[in-house]
Amino acid sequence: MSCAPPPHQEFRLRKGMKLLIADDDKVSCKILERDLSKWGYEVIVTHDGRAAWEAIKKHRIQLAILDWMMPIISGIELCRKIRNEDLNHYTYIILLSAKQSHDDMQHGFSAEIDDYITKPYHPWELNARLATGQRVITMQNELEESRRKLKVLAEIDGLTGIFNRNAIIGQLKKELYRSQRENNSVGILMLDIDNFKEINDTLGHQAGDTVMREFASRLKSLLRPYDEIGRYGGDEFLIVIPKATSENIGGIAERIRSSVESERIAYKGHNIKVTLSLGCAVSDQRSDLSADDLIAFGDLALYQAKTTGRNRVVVHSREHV
Amino acid sequence: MKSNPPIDYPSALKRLDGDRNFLNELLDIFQKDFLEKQSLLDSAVERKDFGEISKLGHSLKGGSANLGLTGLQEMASHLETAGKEADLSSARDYTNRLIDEFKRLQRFLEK
Repeated sequence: MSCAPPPHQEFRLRKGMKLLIADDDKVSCKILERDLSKWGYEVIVTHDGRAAWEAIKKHRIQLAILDWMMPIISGIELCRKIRNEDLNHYTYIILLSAKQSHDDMQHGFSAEIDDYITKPYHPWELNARLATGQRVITMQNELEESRRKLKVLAEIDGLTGIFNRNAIIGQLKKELYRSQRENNSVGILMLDIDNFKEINDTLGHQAGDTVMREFASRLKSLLRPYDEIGRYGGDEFLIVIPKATSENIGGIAERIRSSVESERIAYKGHNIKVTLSLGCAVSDQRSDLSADDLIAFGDLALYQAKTTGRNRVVVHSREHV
Repeated sequence: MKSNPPIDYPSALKRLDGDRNFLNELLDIFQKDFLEKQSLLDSAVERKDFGEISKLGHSLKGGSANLGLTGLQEMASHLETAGKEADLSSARDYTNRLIDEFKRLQRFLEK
């Protein structure tokens, strides 16, 4: 009776996965490369730690077999470097070493390697350990992917597909930090659709939703790529315009107002005329306002646009305070 | 003195799934690599650079173990130890014996 595993056990491996090997011994490298190619890996061969580091960055390597003893940068030093620098991807590292004592292994694991194999390696064992590495990498990638999706979900308004309230306020704060650092001004537009409630009351909420969606996408198309827009709440929107000044923000707002007014929104045979009121505010080097201040001033100007007849632009100035 | 062949063919071949051509290719690579390391080793012994001696011993030990070069593996292992212990006379001795063993391998492979 034998406990040995079948010699050609198949693992469920992803074919064509990139795998980096780093070993200064050319013979070991050749043998390793041959085994790995046979198992379906796309092998990238390097002979010292520095070349390995460059290749890991360039090819976004997620699976690496490093020899401990290498010139310039050893496998251990390379592993520490990979863990300390922000690579945007996890690299699963197997350290391959002729050092077989427990002290050596402890030293190896202290550099945050994932696995340790002694030379000369047994092909079956290496194959099995690589399969483990692949499982970890797959889980890691799935985790990153869902984190990315959740981040999108947390920032996007479900109805209009633009930033939600928290996200657009976050964008405004970020822009204010940047502008203070670079000595620029930042402008915002607070705006809402005139008599939006009437659309809901006369044509129903689905019509209201359609108008809201269409309206948001039109606003977006009127902006420059580095302007940001978000739904502030209800039918109110907040637009952040980097580098806008007290002199030009009124013109920018007016262009948006007239362009929205000029084209009706179609809904089931109705052509709905949509107009909007806008309040503008600017933070520059002199005023140095917080996000809350700026929003409050924009809101004040918007209120004034509403109370003086709607479908118009009001720029906040110190006289309003 | 030594009656063992410098290379354990059966075990080297077994490791390479019996691929004789691949083994020959590896032996060529090994010999070129050995000659480079030999000159590094000579100058390391000359400079009494024990760290370098130990590293070269370690590296040659690994390379020869892969190819069933049991004699070379043994000499390289002694050399690594001599480097670690900063033992110059041992380092000189095993360098010479390593080179002799390599020449024996070359003669063997030419046949």
